[in-house]
Amino acid sequence: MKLLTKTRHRGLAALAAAAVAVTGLSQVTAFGATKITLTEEDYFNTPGQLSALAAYTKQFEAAHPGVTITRQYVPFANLDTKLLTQATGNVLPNLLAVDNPFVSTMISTGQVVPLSGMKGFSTKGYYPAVINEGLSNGKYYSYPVAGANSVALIYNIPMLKAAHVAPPKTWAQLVSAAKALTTSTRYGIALTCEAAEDTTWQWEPFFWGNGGKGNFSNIASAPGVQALSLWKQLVTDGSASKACLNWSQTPAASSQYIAGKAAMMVNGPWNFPTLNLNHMYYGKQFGVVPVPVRVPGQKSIVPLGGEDWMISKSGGSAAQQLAFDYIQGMQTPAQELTLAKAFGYLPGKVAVAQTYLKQVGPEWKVFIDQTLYARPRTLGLGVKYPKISQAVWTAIQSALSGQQSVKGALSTAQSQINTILKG
Amino acid sequence: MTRLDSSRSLRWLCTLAAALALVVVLFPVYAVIVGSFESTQTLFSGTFYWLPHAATLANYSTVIQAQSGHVLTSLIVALGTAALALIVAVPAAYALSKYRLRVTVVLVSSLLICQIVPSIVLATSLFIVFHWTHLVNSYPGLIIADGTYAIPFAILVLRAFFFSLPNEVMQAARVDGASEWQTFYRIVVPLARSAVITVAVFAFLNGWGDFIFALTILSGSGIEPITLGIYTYLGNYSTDWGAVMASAAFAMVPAGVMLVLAQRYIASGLTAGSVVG
Amino acid sequence: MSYADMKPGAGAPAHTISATRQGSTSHKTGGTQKTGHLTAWRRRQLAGWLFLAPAIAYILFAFALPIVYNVMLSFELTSPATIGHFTAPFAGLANYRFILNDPTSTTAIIHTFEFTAGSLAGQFIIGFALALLFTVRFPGRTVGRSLVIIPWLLPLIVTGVIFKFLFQLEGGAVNQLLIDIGIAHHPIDWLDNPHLALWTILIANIWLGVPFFTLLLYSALQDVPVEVKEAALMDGAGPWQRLRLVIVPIIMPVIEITFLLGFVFTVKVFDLVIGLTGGGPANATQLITTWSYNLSFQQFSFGEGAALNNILLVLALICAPLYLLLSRDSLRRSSGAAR
Repeated sequence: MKLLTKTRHRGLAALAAAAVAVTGLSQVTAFGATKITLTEEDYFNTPGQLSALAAYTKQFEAAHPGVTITRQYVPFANLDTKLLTQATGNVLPNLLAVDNPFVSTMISTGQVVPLSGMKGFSTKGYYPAVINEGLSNGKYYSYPVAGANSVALIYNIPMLKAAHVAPPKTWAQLVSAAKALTTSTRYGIALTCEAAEDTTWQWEPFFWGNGGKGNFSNIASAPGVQALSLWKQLVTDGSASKACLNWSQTPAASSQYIAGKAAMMVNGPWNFPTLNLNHMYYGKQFGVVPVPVRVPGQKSIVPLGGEDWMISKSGGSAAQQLAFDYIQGMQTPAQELTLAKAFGYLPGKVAVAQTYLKQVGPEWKVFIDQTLYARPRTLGLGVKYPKISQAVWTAIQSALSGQQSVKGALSTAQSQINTILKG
Repeated sequence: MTRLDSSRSLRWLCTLAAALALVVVLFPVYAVIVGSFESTQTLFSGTFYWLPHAATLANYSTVIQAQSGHVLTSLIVALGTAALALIVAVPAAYALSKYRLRVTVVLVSSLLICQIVPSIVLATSLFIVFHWTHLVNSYPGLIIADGTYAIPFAILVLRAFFFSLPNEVMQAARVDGASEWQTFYRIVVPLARSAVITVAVFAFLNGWGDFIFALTILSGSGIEPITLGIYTYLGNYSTDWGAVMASAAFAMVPAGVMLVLAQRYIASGLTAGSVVG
Repeated sequence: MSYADMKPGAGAPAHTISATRQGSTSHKTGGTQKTGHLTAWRRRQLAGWLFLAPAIAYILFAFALPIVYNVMLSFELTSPATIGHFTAPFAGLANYRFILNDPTSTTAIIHTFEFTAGSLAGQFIIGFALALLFTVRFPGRTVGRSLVIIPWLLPLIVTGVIFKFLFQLEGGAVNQLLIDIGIAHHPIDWLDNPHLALWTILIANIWLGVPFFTLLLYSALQDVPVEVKEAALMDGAGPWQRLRLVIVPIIMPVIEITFLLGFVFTVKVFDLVIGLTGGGPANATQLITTWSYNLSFQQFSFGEGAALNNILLVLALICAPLYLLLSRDSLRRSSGAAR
């Protein structure tokens, strides 16, 4: 009996000791006297992005002995949640690659530091739309990550040839092309309709190009109804999989395309390195055209995409300065070029972009032409954009899944958006 | 016993019915195991294969690389939850059953109510409360949160068990000169061994399976249990089912181990939870 | 029926020990009992409180504090800008008004009811049928009874992920089976159809909850005295009548508490939905829990999330009095505790 008691007691003690040990573990100090670890958080997931970032980090660490940069990956759909959770807990990583429509919201949390005033910070030479994403109350809070991007229609040349279909320019052509390209083992087009920002972002060119307003105040009118009806038709025709309701833009929809399960996709140039890795090259295996417009004469208006580096308050001034050095080092023309190529982005500085155009292939033409005129999503909306976007993607999901009619879904969104715009 | 039970054919019919039920019960588990050995191409092909088709270990090598840290985290959290549950619940249950205290009825009632409180209600506020107390993103924080599943249940189950211990046991010890504490941990705890194990097993499984608190209280930086790892996988590579299934297979291991080693305790715990109400 | 009844052997050694100890006690104490009584009583009170202290501290910190804070939060106007602060501006009833006018919130509340009712009905019917099945002595019943627990032991998020895999539109086992045996000609959009998705989640939840019902009802059936069953047989009652008129009334208390606990579990369901649909498509499968998570952690309207949480809490606590009533025996024993 006594023996039993003892073992029991020891067991408990061991468990308690384990708990204590764990407590100790959790408070690993990030900043020693000479060694500093910075954490960096992003949602990058293409091989090109990952290797370029890793290469730059390695270079930076070599130039700054004792400094380690640890990368933390968050899937796109969870990124905003994660960032705000971390901001609330004062546990933001030092370096954040924030999707640009969320930059305003991050500034409003007060947990990121302005870059204005940091040694070496300059806004000179950037496309205003790109650098102004981080502008708030006269202070700049961000640098672009590898530049900017947008979306276009990427199509599989052999598949279109075999089906005797030309790359679509109008919605009517898109519908008939997608239908012709659909077989028992593949869909005509891969759409993105998950419950996240990338769905709104994919739909914006259709809506905006058709006369939709930047603040979505006319979403339930003709421009919105027509644009959503187009998507709905693609799904009802069976030309687009209904499974898109679970698909992110990258990697879910893009891997459908790469696996040959979809003949076309609305997607961005960050896929180029991945396409090449899969032996798909521009002009032979894939082509790029602007997002089709409803009637000839309309011009496709795409959202301005990209991420911005932001620096959190975490770790005090030494860490902030080091984090700034990390992102400042990426702003040299040479680094900008390397990163832009690997990421599949357009450089954020005018002069660098011009050099870039001379160096990159013809697959860039469409993206370059339209990115310069792309519409920043938060323009005039700021912190309201994420809420509006949620109303939009919910309407898209609602209509495509058949829960509501296109009109019904959009008028629900309209009333939500009106409330958000008023508030 | 009865005419019905003695009928041979009926018994075999029952075996058949039970076998059918078990197929439904076990098939999802089987599918995970099959899926975890399939190649990405197979899983991507749009056809489900009832038997492994071109089996590969690639998913496991991916997952062992990516998730072994998460398995360790889950293990720490699960053991921590079990330890916390025992430290808090065993003495409390003893006091609530063997001491005449004014607070007993109030406390037992609140424990019953605590069992009802949905975790999401706690998660939102715990997240902010932990923010004040610097427990966000820490093992102690997650273990305290996971304890909310286990502790009310543990106290109630143990209390019911202690009722079955005759008071004479404690009286005898006291008469022998044992202090209250000695009586408790030398005499009572060893006698309650099986109930304590039951409670620990449940707390362990609660800690292992927790997802809500991991999702809300952790925000990256190293601490990530397997449940969250699977969720991240799902959001990230929504098409890489092989890796997701291999991770799921890992997450199912403790359930299997417990089923083999501690089945008696699980069955009694499940029933006891309801009996003490 | 008590905990100890189910664990034969656990109670037995206690009796033997107490018997032997008791013999040696009487002559040892005798004289000192009267004088030391008051201090002994105090000492015992103190010890009792000390034994309770960790539990009380825990309940206050992990339950009371968050619940109180949640109530406060539901009356505050929160935004990403206020999340770093302890409190936010007072919002009056704005958050509750938002919830009641928000179509997603109201459907989430309705869905929660539908989902709970459907789950309980399915779990009870299947669980009871299996429990009855296992009372028959057939070959393999011990193995069957132990394997049937498996779904209950798996982490809920894992179950969600598994069912997402099984119910996939393309390449899911369920659609494959239905097409192979010719019931369906096209894959069914189990998870992408707003009218089907909640049913799919329901199926998954019934799957994982049946073991709980089976086990509880089985152990209750074990306690039905054989004589009662035989008496019913002699009366000439058919199997159905015997079940309805004789067995069910006897195990009614267990059925009640099982339903109650089932209700509590189902109202809380969160992981399963997040794993299966994430509340989609288009919020068609949002339950109170998932939508409150969405409001709090995806839209960062902690105030609105807290308001919805409180509605959930009230719904869950409606059954608290019932629960306390059913547990009254357990509560009553507290007053009869040992000295």
